[in-house]
Amino acid sequence: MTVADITARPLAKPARANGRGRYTALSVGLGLLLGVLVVVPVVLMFLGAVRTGTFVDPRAEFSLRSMLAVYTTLPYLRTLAITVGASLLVSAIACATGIALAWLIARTDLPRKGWMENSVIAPLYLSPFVGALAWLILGSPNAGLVNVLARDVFGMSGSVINVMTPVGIILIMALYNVPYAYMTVSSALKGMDPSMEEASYLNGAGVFSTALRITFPVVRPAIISAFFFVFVLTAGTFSIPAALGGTQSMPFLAVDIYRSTATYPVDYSRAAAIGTLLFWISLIGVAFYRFASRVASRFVTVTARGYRTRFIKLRGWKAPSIGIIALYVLLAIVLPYIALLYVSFTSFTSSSISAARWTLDNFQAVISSVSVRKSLFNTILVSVLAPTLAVMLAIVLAYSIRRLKVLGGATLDYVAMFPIAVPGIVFGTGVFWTYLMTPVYGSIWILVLAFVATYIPFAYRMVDTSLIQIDKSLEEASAICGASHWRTASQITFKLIRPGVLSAWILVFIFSVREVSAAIMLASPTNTVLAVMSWDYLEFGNVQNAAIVGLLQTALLIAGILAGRFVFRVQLSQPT
Amino acid sequence: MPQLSVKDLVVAYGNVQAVKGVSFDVEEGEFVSLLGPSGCGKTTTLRCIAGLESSSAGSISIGKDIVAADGMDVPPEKRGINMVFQSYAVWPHMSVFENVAYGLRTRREPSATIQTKVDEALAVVGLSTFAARFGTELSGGQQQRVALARAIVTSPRLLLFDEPLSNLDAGLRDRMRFELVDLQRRLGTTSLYVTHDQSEAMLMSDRIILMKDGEMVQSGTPRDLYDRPASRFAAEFVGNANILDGEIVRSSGDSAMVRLPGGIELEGMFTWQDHRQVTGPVAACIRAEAISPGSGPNAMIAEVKTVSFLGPTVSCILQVGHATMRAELPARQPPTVGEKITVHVAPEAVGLITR
Repeated sequence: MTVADITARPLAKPARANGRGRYTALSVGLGLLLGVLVVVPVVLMFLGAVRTGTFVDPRAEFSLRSMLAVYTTLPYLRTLAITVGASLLVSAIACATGIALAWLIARTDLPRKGWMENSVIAPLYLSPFVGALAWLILGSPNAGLVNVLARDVFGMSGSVINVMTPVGIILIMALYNVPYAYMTVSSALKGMDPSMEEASYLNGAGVFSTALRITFPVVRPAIISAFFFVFVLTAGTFSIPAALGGTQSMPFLAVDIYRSTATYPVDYSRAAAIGTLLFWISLIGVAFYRFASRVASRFVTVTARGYRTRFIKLRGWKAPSIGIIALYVLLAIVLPYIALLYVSFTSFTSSSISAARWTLDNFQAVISSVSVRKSLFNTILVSVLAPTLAVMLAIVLAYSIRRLKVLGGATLDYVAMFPIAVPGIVFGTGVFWTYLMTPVYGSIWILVLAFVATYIPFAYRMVDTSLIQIDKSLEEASAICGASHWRTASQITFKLIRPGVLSAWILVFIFSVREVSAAIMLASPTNTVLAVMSWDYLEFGNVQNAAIVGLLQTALLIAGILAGRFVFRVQLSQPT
Repeated sequence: MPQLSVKDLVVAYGNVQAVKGVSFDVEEGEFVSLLGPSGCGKTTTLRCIAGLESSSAGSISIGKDIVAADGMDVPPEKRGINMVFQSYAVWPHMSVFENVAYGLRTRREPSATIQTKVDEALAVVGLSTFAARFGTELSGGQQQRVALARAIVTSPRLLLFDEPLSNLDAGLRDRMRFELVDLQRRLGTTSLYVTHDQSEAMLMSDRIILMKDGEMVQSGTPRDLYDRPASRFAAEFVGNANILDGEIVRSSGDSAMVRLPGGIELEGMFTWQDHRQVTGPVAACIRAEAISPGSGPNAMIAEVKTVSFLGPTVSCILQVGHATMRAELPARQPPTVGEKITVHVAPEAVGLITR
């Protein structure tokens, strides 16, 4: 019998392994979609940097003016140096704190670890901009609540703390980046083979020297990758230096981009040029990060199953250790939200805290204003649409690359991960240049586009990871049971990655609700979201309204997270 | 007509050939094992038959249908077979009942039929009371049974097993072996079983196909493989025989006199006719249990090197001339270490292999 005989039978079909290239259309389609979404904005930003005006401006021409100014003159180079230097410092502080917290929670006999871990990670779910706003309320010179309290209660004069200084800005940026460092180092510590440390103890090394000579060297690649991850995040941060640097106490590239488009004389070309500069820094940071992550994955050790790490007894150190964690939670969450609640629900006229009158008046006034309601609606719309679209795209991408093995899968993977090297404000600049001439500009859709593109790496990586983790035989068993390709995908594959998809959705939801920088570059009167609203109030000096909108935004975040967890649990216990 | 027929199957990954022209048949109702060390191509062969791996050349037919030929493959879902996976592959998001019902639902069988068939299959594997549980709530042995029930419920024309017992602990593995064989005999499903465990293959199979480096080495009943190994590899892999290198002194017909290093001469029988030779090097294969104490044919003086107590027997390492061999002697009057004893082995138990 020959092949012709076989193919004549209804049974026979070329195997999927031989079907490579059948998905060319899908591959090209995904490539085009990602290209428009992700690559075009960055390319057009570079193009914009060498124009004298926007693409719709008939008088605009090509010129290197902005590029030369940004890349060769002192004020910009100084800002560049400060941005890089401050970001390195922030990474160092955040990593040192993250390592200490991770080691305490992963290796010692502290009580209530789950609870402690959740409180250390919690700042991740909250908006750093709202945190900065709260610290402005707490620690601004003279009027800051801490300073007022110091005067009222302890009779001190002058300012005890001032967050509107380079030190203040760096410390607060570090404060909100600790969770990233914590999570990376913590997962490395948990994945480490406990017998490595046990062998060190048996060789006579104590707790301290084991930690120093065995534990940290083994997790060092993870620490380095956390360092560069935080560096890239920080270098592109707009919210904290913008909120606290009101008096230009510390110049920052991201803030300069915004100022170029928001203050007179408006210069979109200069914004684009600074954007390209920030893009290079991020790219270098991401290159280091990728390198460190590769080394880290080579360092991964297989854990001996069934044996739990022996917890180190802290004894007398227990109280100070709990104190350190409590202090972090106090500074990152408790104090800021007390401050926000205080400002939102009192009449801010009295000079003494004890004399403050609690009232709902301000809150009600802000809540009932049409613009706030509109921006709340916009925020909900964007933060539902963006994660939904991003996750859908991520599923199609991951399934096409991993399972269908479409043509050019490696390239698609690279392009999908590319936005991780593009800070939100830079992406906002690119999206601005791209869609300026289209009707999308100024609408709510431009935010959805920008958010989907900015956050596709996170959604894609999470979906992809859960796809990789599915044991291949689970899908093979389905095929063997007679299920078609599509039935296997819908009944087995997609059902098994559902928890990962849901976490990806919630992550992008959180990012979308709290995103300030991209939103602010693309803001128009009709597409204002809560984050931009809060920023606008702050810009006009209305701290109270900014705080109320910040609380509203936080409430939305918490509602989303709780709803997600609730839905998540429902799905787990579902009978089918 | 055989239920499964594999002809000149080749599987190549780039320049590496994992399976190099394997051919065999499995008759209806037969239980055949593919046995071999890891990397011998047995799992690749099985996955080709399942349709999970594409073949590079050769053909596979199941029943009357050709399912693979000349690099064209029918996808697994259209082959009408089923498989028990090494990792069980019990779907964690479905109950035991749903796991087993999956293949029937795929065929859109009426729900009453599904209920009956699943209940039956669960009863067969002894999991009737677990229908509502989830896969992740079961022990390894129970998951194994779910996988088995899922595989038999579709009444496949061929049942494939990919080292299904290798993840179970020793006691459970022993019990499951018997249960599996019993089940297969009752259902009469044609089965192909992949394992690297020779005792498992011996115990369960009607026939064993021994593989090495992507090629078939020998095929036959367990008894055949044990008594008449066709190569050094077969003798060593199945039953871990003593292999002593020697030189043929003289031969007549099936039997020959072999001189071992150190001058000892033994009489043995060629295992296969095509191994007959008059001169040249030869490997003498002696099973440990074929060596008996006392004098008789092929008597030898042996020095006892070690003695390990196994219960019914003692396992000893004996030094005979320049050769060492393992012997299982009665435990009633065990020799002591350092003692010189006389042992003998029947000429029929000395298998001569010339390749």
